[in-house]
Amino acid sequence: MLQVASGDQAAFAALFDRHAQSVARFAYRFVGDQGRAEELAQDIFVKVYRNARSYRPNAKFKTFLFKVAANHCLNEVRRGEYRVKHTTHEAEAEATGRELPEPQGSSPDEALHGKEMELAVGEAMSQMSERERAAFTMCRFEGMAYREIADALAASEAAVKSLIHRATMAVARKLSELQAGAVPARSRA
Amino acid sequence: MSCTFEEDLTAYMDRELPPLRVRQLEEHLPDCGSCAGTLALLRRTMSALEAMPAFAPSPQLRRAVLTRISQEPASLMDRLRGLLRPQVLVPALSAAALLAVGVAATQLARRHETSLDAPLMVADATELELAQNLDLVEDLDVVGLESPEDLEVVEHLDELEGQP
Repeated sequence: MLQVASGDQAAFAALFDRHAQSVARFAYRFVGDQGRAEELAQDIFVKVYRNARSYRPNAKFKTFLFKVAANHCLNEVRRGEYRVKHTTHEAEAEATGRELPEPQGSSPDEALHGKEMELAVGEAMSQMSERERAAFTMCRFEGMAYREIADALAASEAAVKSLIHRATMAVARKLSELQAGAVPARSRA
Repeated sequence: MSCTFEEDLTAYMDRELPPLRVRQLEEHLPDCGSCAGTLALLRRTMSALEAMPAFAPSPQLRRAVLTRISQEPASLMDRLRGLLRPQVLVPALSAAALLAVGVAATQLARRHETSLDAPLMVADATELELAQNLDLVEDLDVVGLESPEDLEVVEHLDELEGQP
């Protein structure tokens, strides 16, 4: 990161390769749209490059990165630049013609269940507050500790604990309804 | 009404509770059906989330980001640092020094010309009279007439000249 701060573009490329997937995944889970997520990820990396000098080596880089990512995503969504739209990967792949990795379930039933589940999770996330969604995404999809999430969101650990609990419970209830057959997830796509 | 421990269940699953609270919760769980049910729901949810397909960005993202970075203008600090490099700084300072010497020489020359051409500025009438009769004063100095008697002799010189 110190090399990046001195304008070393090769060092920046290495940094990008190491963290691009995390950042893009965070943005995707945040706005629920691949194209917009990649625009956000681009902006986030450009901001990281511009603000590399403000990085202090005593802070964990991933925390610094997600601070930039969370701020950018929250600001863009608040400014109305992006509307949260959750679809499945498959729906996007159909629209964009992209190929997707095989889902983890091997049978058609499992694949169908995977799609429904992703849609249900996306719907639950779209109903969360922005901070709940950011905290939930960092915790569940990036495996970040509460302390790191608190740093990234400039919040207390107690606040983060509460955000994550509410968000996880919202997703849990949605998945529970799906499993009970109460939510025909596909009909709301 | 939900149990007071309910808020701790997610943090418990995430191993984010302090040890004392973990002990209290584990003592509480066998006696609270509501918490036990919520904990089971959370376990199922977290397993389901882990099984969700991974999201992979498109290969165009890398190219787009690196292109934008290569087009970024240098920061102010970088530009200043660039100007302070010896290969830039030494010629720049030399040029500045030459320019300063040139300007100073021009100013001096102008000042000299001004002092020769400018009309004499006289403060008051006494000074003006003195300036106009400077030759006379010089003559008096040469002659060394200083006492009032000598000056009286000079004043009536024509009368004295007329006497035999």
